[in-house]
Amino acid sequence: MNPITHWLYLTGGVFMGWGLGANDSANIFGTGVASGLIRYRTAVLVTAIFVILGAMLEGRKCITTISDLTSLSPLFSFICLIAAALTIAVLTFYAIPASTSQAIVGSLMGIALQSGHHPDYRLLIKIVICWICTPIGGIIFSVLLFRILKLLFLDRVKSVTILNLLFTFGILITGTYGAYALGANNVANVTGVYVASGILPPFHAALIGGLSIAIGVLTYSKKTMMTVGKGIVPLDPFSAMITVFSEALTLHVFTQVGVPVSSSQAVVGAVVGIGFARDYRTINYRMFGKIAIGWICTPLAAGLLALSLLFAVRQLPELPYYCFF
Amino acid sequence: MKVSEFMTKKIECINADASIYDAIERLLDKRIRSLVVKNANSHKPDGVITARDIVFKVLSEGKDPRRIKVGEIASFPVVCVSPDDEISKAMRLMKEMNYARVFVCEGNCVIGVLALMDVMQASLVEKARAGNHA
Amino acid sequence: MSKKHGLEIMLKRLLGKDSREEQVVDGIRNHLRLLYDQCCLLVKLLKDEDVVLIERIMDIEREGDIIRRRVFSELFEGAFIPYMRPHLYRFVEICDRAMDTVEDVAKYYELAQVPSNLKEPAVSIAEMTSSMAELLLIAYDTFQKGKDLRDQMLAIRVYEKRIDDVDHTIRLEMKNISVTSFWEGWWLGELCRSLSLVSDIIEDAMDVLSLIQVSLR
Repeated sequence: MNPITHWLYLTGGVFMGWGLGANDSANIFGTGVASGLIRYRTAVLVTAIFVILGAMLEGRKCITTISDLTSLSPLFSFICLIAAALTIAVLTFYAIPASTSQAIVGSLMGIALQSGHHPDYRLLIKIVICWICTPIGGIIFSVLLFRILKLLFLDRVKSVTILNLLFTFGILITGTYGAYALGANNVANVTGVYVASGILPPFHAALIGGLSIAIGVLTYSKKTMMTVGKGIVPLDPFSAMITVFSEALTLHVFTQVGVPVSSSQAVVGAVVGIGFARDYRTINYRMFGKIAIGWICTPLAAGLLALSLLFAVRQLPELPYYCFF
Repeated sequence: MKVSEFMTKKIECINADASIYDAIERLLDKRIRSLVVKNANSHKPDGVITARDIVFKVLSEGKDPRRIKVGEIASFPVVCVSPDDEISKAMRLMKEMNYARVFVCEGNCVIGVLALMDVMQASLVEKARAGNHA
Repeated sequence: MSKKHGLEIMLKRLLGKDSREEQVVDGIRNHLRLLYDQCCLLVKLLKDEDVVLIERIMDIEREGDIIRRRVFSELFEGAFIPYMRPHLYRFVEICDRAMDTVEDVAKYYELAQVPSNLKEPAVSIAEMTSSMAELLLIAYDTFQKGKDLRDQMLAIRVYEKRIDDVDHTIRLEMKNISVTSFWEGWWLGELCRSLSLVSDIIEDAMDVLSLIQVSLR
């Protein structure tokens, strides 16, 4: 394959990773940064490093799943990513906690249906089940972690200064873990399709995916960090810490299962779980409605978009660089 | 904790010759529950009349409060503690005698009153002060 | 008990020295200590009518200001998590206001003549106020140990109520006092107003303290 085309195709993944990094890193250190606990510079640096680390060490588990789902040509993988990225942009604009993995899987399905490749339906069902389990996992983990850590620390540490230290380090540690889990789980959304189309071997896919997410974190995450972070701030520091911790744990567990899931939806679940544990209302049923809409809309929209992009590309006259397809 | 710290210094007096009706007027006007009863003969000790006395001994009996004198139903003499006594001593005294209030006297002169409510407040404050040792 | 203590020591060692937070905590304690000293001096001033004490009460207020500024700059430079900072600012500010008000009482005392029939209730208010300041100090120590503040809160409320009662009798007495000039009356009025105001402010401080505790759990 022509190296220029090769790099051109990769831009799709880099763009997707960039958007993912800019958006999802807010779920990790958003609280800490927005409340002034951690400097923005420190937060993004830690996030970037651990996202890459997570992607390199464990990213392969989910990349394999995406590449096993279906096989497709290099151009199709590019189209797939563009469609997914556009879907995410639109849904984010309407404040629906859209998941990149849902978008990617949706557009993959669209292309697979069109091109006649039959996707692995059993794998697909497994993925969908994991999506539904993501917010539920967030709820369960946050209830459990809240109870356990309260017993271990909050009920035993009485001194205000020590408590203060505990929260400071707690938010730093859970955030670091969150970054690692995000890298490990979500890198598949960014470069998994390249493995499916044979452009990249899994290791390179993990590296490039991790780097592109890190670039997104480093260059464009400030705004979302502030808005998302301030949305969670009304929680007390302990609950904020638990929220990030359960998000990270949820992502990490699904990484072991090998399915990329949505970090935003895990966070929503975790916040609801805090509400259960604390016995007060953080449940916003409309938020659940939005997630459910996202479950249906995101793959559908991404699939349709991928189909129409595919159609558009096929209508184009044969230009010289298309002979490489 | 000393009695002087928690006694109420605001005390109202009434003459033993005054009518019960006057006493009721004073109690309601000042929103208090008891009056120190002064004898015309200053050598005799002071007494006390409470809302309880008036209700049980006069009103519930259907007697006319205008016709009865304070001295007739008041209790003599008042139970006294010294301002330097411990509150626990006053509390014991109140329990033994079944009184709702004891008077704080200096010599023959009533200078304050310590009621059940004051004792409760004192015990609360004492507990709070011990807070950092507990 | 010892098990809990062990965990705290372990965490402290593990996470290193927390000098900035300790400085804030100690600073606030010194601040409260000064407030208590100041209240005790006020009792002496009213009781013994020793006007030399006025100067000392004002000195203490200045010392308190210095501590307050130091605590504020520590907080500003990042002591404690941001979540707690506003509450701590507020607590220190309220305590500082209490000290200002005690100083006001001393200043007005220099200007106004306290009539003999007001002396006794005024001393009694000052005494109860100093008990409240002591309770606030105890409450702060209790707070630092993470224990329940309910006892201190109730006790402070008891004193507040009793001061209110005495304040009411002072107000009733005041109408029988004749003054020779507007300013004489004004100063006396302000003296009485500030005197009972201190207890209100201490009660506020106590509320904020318990708020901090509740918000951390």
